[in-house]
Amino acid sequence: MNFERWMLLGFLVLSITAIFKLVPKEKARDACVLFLFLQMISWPAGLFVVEMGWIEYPTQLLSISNQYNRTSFAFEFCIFPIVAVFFSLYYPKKAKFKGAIIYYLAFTGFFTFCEVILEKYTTLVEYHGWKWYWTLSSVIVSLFLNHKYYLWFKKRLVKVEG
Amino acid sequence: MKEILILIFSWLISIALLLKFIPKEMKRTAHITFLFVSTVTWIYEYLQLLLGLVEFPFREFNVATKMSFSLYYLVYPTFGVFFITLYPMEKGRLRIFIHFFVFAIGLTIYSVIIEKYSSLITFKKWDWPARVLSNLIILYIVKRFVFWFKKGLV
Repeated sequence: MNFERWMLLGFLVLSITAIFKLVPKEKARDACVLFLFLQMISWPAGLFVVEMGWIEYPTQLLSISNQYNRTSFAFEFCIFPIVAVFFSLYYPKKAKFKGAIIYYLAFTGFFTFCEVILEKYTTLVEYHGWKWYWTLSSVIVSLFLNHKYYLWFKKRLVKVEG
Repeated sequence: MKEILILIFSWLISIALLLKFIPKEMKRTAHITFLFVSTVTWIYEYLQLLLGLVEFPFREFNVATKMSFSLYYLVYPTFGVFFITLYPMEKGRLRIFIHFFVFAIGLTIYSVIIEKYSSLITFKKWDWPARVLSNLIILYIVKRFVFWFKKGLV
């Protein structure tokens, strides 16, 4: 297994560990809503950008992955949804407009920065005509929709044991 | 062309059924079921493909994936939502047993029909009893998850 695959595995282990360690038990259902709804956005969006030839993921977790599915399983079904869980669970409720903008930009900016670095130095992701600001804006829109959906869903969620 | 028609009909019918027949007080239960089923069946679809049990000759995203999109993003989750919405609560074991089988067989019949009349799906060495069984397992997982989730819903 080459170094980049180990890296990818490392990201996955890290994000999965984070979700189990850092999400409190009584927020398990909140996390499920956030995690699952984000996939509903990232799944078709990921398929669309790959279908258009804008983004490619030459190195995937399994060497045979690309023969079956050329979107990134790790990114769309694991890392991005987990980022979204933390984004909404730690969302500053009291923040005014300016604070919210800063929060959005800090999260999505960091995320985009990581992707740009990976694009430049690894074959985990390659842009073909794709630009970093498209990642930035699509991640902002996805997180925004996810957060709004969560706020709606949450109105009927109650704290329970287990 | 046939494939596109089947997909359009599947989308329209699923959306119409979901909008029309989900009682308002079960809205969030239906939502979480839909979301969970699409994730579980996506993995199920991927495994079937990896094991060479199935092929999807006609696909919405032809280049990006060898998997079908609508069947597991929409059709299966819609079945799942009605499986949960119509679940016989406080009824006997036999009634629950029948409920599971009706949905597992219903899903299989849908797959048999689209296999026969379109190139949306082609099953390889994956006969219908095995598919009924795998559908039963998925429905059971869905039921466990949703019933756990519901404890935190009012």
